[in-house]
Amino acid sequence: MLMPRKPPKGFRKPHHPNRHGSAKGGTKVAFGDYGIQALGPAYITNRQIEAARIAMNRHIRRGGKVWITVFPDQAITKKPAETRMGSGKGSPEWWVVNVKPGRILFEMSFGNETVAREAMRRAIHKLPVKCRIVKREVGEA
Amino acid sequence: MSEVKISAELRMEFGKGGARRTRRAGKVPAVLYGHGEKPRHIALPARELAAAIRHGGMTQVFNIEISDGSTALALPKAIQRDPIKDTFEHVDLLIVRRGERIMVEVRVQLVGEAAGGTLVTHERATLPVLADPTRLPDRLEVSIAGLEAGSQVTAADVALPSGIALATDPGVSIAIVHAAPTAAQMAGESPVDEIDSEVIDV
Repeated sequence: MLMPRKPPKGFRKPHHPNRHGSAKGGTKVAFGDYGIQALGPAYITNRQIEAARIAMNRHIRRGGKVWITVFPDQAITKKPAETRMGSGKGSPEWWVVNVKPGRILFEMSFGNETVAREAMRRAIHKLPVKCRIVKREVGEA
Repeated sequence: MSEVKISAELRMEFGKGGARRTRRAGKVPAVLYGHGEKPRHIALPARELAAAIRHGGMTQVFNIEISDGSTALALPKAIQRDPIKDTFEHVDLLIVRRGERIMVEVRVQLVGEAAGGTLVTHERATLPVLADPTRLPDRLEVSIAGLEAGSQVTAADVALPSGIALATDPGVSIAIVHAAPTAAQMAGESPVDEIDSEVIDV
């Protein structure tokens, strides 16, 4: 699963990242022919990214390529159950990516558009956010 | 490509409030500059602009009739879009003149199907060309029909219309044809191997 090699120095237990606004970059399909674009804000964990990737790869089986265009580099902490308040911040529990509306999450190249769309539809079911499938336009970089 | 005639109004109010009021009125805020002229802030009709850009892309030449009586020939230089609604937020227009040669990025379209069992990666979506602004093509086509794995399409392979010259190295790669990954390759493609969860709890 995707995660930083070692927790970034000084950012081991960060505050929750802000969820306002829309994506400033990564809103166009850059590598493949199709992409999955988030339509809302969400924290997407590395497990959800991996589940979506597997769902896509299992459907297309062979002959395609999948790009993951987000990286879960933000740690989210959690205090253990039945613990009294205080005694510091909880321990890092998940690695997430802070996704904002408009962000392309995955890209795919595959010859058959119907199969590619079905693979992406299956991947969207693994994600905690409303998404749509977008197609690369001619001349889009 | 033919020019598109479009009427524009001079904008008198600026900033996000003024820009939002312009958008609510069905117009797109734009700025017109180039050739040493002072920038002029204008508003363009959103529907006409969107239709022209959809058809001609970034190489569509506009013949702009401004409300103060002046006209200008311009080419879109930068377009800001809403990532969700895909509407135009703002357009930068560059003044051009007939007969001059300008450098423009033109879209490249791959045509045809590569050989079976291959995967085509589109490396470069646009190519810079030198041309008269009134004779810019909306796209350049390059054929990938029947190409085998390991072959490559470069800028030199693109058939350019007359009067248009390539403004980059002809060896620049546009598309590469790879052998399609097998099922085994795709199954074991996990980006990073599973790491013990203790790594997180340092």
